[in-house]
Parts: sequence; C-alpha cells; structure tokens
Amino acid sequence: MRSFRKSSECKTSKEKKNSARRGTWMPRMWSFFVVLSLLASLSACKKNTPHASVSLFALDTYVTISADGQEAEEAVQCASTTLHIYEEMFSRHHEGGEIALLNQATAEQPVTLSEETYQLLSLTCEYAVLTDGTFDPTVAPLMDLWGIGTENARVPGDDEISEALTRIDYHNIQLLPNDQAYVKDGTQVDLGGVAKGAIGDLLMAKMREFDVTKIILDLGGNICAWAKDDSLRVGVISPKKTDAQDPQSMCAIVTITDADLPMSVVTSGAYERFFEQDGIRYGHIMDTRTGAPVQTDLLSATIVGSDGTVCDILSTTLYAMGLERARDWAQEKHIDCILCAENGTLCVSTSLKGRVDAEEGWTIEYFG
Amino acid sequence: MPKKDGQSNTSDKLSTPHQACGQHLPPRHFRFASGDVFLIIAILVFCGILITGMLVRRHTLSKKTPYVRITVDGSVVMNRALSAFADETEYRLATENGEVVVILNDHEVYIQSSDCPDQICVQTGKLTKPGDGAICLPNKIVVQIVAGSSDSGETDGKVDAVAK
Repeated sequence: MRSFRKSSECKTSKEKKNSARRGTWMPRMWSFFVVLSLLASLSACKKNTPHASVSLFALDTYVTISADGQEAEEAVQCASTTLHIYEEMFSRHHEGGEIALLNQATAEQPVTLSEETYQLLSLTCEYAVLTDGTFDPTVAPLMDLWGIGTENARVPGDDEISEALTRIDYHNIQLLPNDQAYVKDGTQVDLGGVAKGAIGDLLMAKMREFDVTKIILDLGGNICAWAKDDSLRVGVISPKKTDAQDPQSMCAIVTITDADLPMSVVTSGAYERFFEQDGIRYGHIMDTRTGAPVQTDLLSATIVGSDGTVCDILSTTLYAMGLERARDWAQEKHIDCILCAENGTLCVSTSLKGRVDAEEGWTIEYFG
Repeated sequence: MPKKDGQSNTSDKLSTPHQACGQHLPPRHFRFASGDVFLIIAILVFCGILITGMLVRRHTLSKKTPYVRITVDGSVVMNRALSAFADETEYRLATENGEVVVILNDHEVYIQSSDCPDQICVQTGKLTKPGDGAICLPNKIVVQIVAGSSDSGETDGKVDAVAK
C-alpha cells in the first residue's frame, strides 16, 4: 500500500511536469529567440562609435565622405564645405578660380597661386616630365575636341586634331618663385586628371585633425581611406562589364592595413566613360602624341599608395602605357599596382602580395 | 455548483487509467507520456528537414559550376570557373621555396610539381569535384574546387569602398 501510494505520487508529479512542459513549450521557444536576438543586437552595438556620412555631387561626379569617431559629424561637415572651396580652386571652368586665372595669366602678369594650387601644379609638371608627357596637364583642348563623356562626343578630323595638338605642351607651364605662375602660347591647364586625388589628400589631412578613428573618402571612385588600428577592404571595380552582371562587380579586393598613413586606391580605365562609333571604342584618356584616345591592351590600372595625387596621376599613366611598359615602369619606380589584362589576369606588384584577393573570374600573377 | 462537480468528475476519470496502469504494471523506465511522443515526433521532423536540406544542397551544389580557388598564405590568387580552362593551362606560383606548378583543365586540377620537402600536395593527385582540395603547407598554398563562386567565403564579404 505504501509503495503504491509512492509510485502514484510519482506518476502524478511526472504528469504534472509533462503538462507543464507542454504548456510552456512555445513561450520558452519564443523567449529563447528573443534572448538570441537581443544578444545579436547587443553584439552589433558593441562598437558603438558615432558614424557620420554625407554624399553630394561635386567634381563632376558623386562624392561620399564618411567618418567614424567622436567628432565624425564635425569632420564630415568640415570636409564637405572644404571640398567646394578646393573644387573652385582647381577647376578651369570656374570663373575667378585659380586655374581659370592661371590660364589667362601672361609672362608680364603672372598669377599668384595659393600654396595648395602651386604645389599641385608643380607636382603635376614634375610627373609630366617623369612620364615623358604620357601624363599631360595641358591636354584640355583634345578633351574638348573629342568630348568623350559628354553628349557632344565625336571623332574629329585630322586637321582639327593637329590644331589642338599645337596647343598641348606641358613645357609651356611656367612656374616662378613665390607661388607665381603663368602659361605660354595659349596653353590651357586642366587639373581634372589629378584634382580628385589631390582633393582626397587635402580633405583627409583636414579630417584627421578631428577626433576620428576611420575616414573613407570616395571621390567618384577615387578611394582615400584611413582607419586607426583597423584594416579596410577596398574593392576594385571589374573593367569587364556585361549587362547581366552586378554593376558593382569587382575584380579584386585590396586590404589596407597601414594604420598610420591614409591609403589611396585609384583606378583608371576606359570601361565607364567612352563612346563607340563604327564598332570602335573610344576611351576618355587621350594620347598627346597621336591626339586620339590611347591604344592600350590594359582594361584598367589601379594604384595603391599613400599619396592620392600621385596615385591619380600614375593610374592614368600606367593605363595609357599598356601592359608591357606599365609593368616595367612600375617595377622600376616601385609602384604598387594592379593591372587588369584582357585575358582576365591581374598583374599585381609583388609588394602587394597578401594584400590583394582575386575575385570571381580573375587570376593574379605577381611581377617584380 | 453543478459545473464544478462536472470538472471534478472529468479529472477523476482522467486520473483513473493512470492509476490503474501504475497498479498493473511494475515501474518502467520507458513509458511514453504524451510529451515524449511530441518530442520524438519533433526530433523526427527535425531530422527529416535536415536530411532533405542536405539532399537539396548536394543537388544544387552539383548543379553549380565548379570553381578553382587558389590561395597563397590566405589571399586568393585565382578564383575562376573550371570551364574557363578548356585548353590545359599551367599556372606557376613563385614561392619562397621555389615554384609550385598547378595544371588546370576543364575537368580537373592538380599540382604537378612543388618545391617543397614533403610533396604531399603533389601526391594528393587530381581534384575533380567540389570539395576536393590539395594543400601545400610549406608553401602555404591551397588549391580547392568549390561549387560556385558564392562558396568562396571571405572574398564575398562586403567591402568598405569600391575604387572605379
């Protein structure tokens, strides 16, 4: 009798447990999920540093400025106002801008430039010499003539081209002491090929004065990035574009780890701005020897470096040089670059080993 | 009042069979309570879903185009569809120890030769299907066949910016 009572007690308690389990099954499941999602959101907020970002149309392109850190908002604000100042300074189309004034200056009346513009101009001339005119800041008449990237794009006549070529010569830029300069013989200076890189560098320097830990400047695809004690991944757009592909598809990803220095990743190629006529594709990068768009076997050239201005100049130069010359030249000058060849090969400087990942459809070959 | 009576009656009726069972049968360890049945069904259903999922995945994997992925010290140096190598291709990788030669064609990939002491990667032989891989530890080289580029893991992670 005693044992029976015990066992029956046991049973009933077990049954109670069962019914209790059944009753709380769903709520328990729910609470489990709620806790899980709370944890997930907690882990997401763990690094809760202020983030600020602004996007605007400037420099004939789309610009995104973003920063992380205590003064992210202020840094971004400062950069977006400064951006317009520099834009006016460096644009030859802006009435009263320094470059516009420079283009009107004469030997008798040279223009006094700001330190930034003068430095940029002298750097540009230095690289024009170094690249033997492959990069030429006086290429504007040709750009205007072909109009590639505008609705007036056309293939000009030979006489028009030879006329434009007479007005192209970087030797005509005369740099004088005390930040003074002028141009000879009606030559026009256009810093369009370096302005994005230069402005990126200037904005980066300005923004780093604030209490920030991460800055990413995207000036129409010219990337200038810096992150304190962190690595950043910068994709390189794939120059092979088909309609079916994701427009943002990439050919490689560069990992930036140099925390002390801001790094720039700049790509040049004729995959975006070009026009086609009679089955021939004309890119927007001009060859100042022929007066026509450059003939190159490269799809694009990407430079990784700490000086965004130089990266901007060199990406155009290496692209124009073509694979063979670009590879030799980059090796000689110790340039970190990624050259996209037509066969899907990425020729990458050995110095970038371990910092570049190939994306779908691409193979890396190191050189140098 | 009558309602209350009715309730107590049903509870009595419910409890009787259990008590009866306990009376007739000696204590057993594996008596199924309704909760246990529920649990078993739940486990079975869960297993069923898992197995179906695996089968479906395997099916979709076999349908995806195989990709060759070669990494050197963690960084991807090749990420291409195997079908891109209709003509047999030789891919040479310069390493600290010398050279690693990978042969690729549209149905197989293998490490032909490697300047490494153990030669394990060469002995791995031919890789033909997704999941196959050859690893050269001394040279930190991994050659893999993956099903579809979306399997490539890290490289598909988001980037902070895109240079164009």
